[in-house]
Amino acid sequence: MRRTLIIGGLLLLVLFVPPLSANPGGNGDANRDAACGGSCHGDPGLSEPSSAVLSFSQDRDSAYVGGPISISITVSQMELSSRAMVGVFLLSDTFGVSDTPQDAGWTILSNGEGGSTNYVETYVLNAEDGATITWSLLAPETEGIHELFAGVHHGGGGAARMQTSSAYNVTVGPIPENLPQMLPWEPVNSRPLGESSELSMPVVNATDVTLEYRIAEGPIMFSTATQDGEMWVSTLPAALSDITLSYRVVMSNDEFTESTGWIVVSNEVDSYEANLSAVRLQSLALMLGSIALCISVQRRMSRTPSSMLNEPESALISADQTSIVSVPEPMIPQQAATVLALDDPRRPQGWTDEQWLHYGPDHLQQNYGGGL
Amino acid sequence: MVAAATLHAFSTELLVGSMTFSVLATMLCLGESFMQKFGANILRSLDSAAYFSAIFSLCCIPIVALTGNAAGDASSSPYLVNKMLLSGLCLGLWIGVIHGRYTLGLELWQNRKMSIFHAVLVGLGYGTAAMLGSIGSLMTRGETVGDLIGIWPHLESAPSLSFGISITLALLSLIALLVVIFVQPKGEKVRS
Repeated sequence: MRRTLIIGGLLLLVLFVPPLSANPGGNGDANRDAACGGSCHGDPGLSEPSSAVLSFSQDRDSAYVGGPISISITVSQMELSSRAMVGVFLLSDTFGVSDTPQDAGWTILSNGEGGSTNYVETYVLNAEDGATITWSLLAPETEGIHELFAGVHHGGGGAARMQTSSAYNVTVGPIPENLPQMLPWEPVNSRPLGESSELSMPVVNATDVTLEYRIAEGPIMFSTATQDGEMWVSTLPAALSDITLSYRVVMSNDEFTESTGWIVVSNEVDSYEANLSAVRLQSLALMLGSIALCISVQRRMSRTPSSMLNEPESALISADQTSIVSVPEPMIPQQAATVLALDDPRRPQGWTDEQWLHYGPDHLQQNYGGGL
Repeated sequence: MVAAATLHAFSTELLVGSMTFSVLATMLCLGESFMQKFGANILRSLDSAAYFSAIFSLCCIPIVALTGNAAGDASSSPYLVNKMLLSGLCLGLWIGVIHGRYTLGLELWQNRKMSIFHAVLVGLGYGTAAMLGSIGSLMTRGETVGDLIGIWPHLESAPSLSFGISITLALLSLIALLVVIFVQPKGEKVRS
């Protein structure tokens, strides 16, 4: 009873393991508010201050209403966990709710990692060099100075850590007359391997639209778009292997040439999905099968000829191997009924099977001190 | 509170430690049964050490499996699926080890075939546990000393069997076990 209680108690302790942890493996790229992760990274009981340095840069001096701009956030000098993973936020505020760039009217075309989210997880090899994430954005529809914030969540030294930057101002001005412009658009951020993508781009005030693309930081290649009504259509070639492909749209007319930021395309690789119930059954089958095999072999091996003598139809092969001697049950001495291995090392040289089974080691022990 | 992964690491260390001890004692028993250098008392002590550490290992296996199950989502990783399958095999082999020692008794070391079979079974159980640890190491550290062994299996892919086939396999195994237990003639303790 006490044993059952102890085992039951241990199992209960295992079942009550809390599901809470600081997610050292990350939570995945997504659109997240600044409050995300606050329960771990912001909890004074679980977290410690971060020494991360956050800095902004942008690809042009200012943006115009609805116009493209690329914002880069560099995170460096942070503590690193053994996983070396950091999560970087691009935020429009730090209230904790409704503070993604989209909430403030920005459009995220690309997060530089094959998605269009404001939160990106990446790995940092060297804290001094840090990591840089570049977002390709379309500016809000209102003129003025718009604030953006950077945030980082990471681990290190056995604690969860977070850091938020001060405000970074982006000036959004009026649209110049006759400027080629991309209207609100959902770009291709991911696609299956081996499939090309036809892009329909809502561009206005342009006489020429070109789709530029590159592999990683390699040379820039391009394909010219053709106008189809209000859309410009071009094809992005297929990727045949898991490469980092990025593209941008270059729009031009007689006065201006304008381009979007680089948009990274991720490759959709078939994810692994197992039926856990089936796997548990297979595991159970392996367990039961191996037990059955072990017990079966052990029982077969432990059934020596002496134990077989107890079976009515059994027969004992005589020592000279020339005849089969049937042994009726009443003839068997009590000692012979016990299991004795015929290849027992204590068996004296020259003894027949019947001799050994009849006298056994006890007889030797009593009369000859264990051996002849 | 302690995270499931930490409990898993703790229970794994208990399991591997006691299992290693059991394997070592078993191999010494096998050697002693062949060479008969140290006498019956040493053999009895080694056998008891192997037996009780094997029982302790057996108790640890379900705890390791449960904490491992709580620590990760097995449905998204072939490594974890392989761990679940090998856990079942490891548990079955180790039950076989303890059943053999319990059924045959200490005198199993006086029968050459039985003692070799017992040692092989212990080795297989330990090899399975080592493979489980190797997968865990691959997942957490990205490498394993198993890579140094040329024939070490790579377990990046897992078998994909349907639920119907899985339940059929489980039923067949159950029937096989019941047949062995209730139909096959029982073994006897080896007596000196």
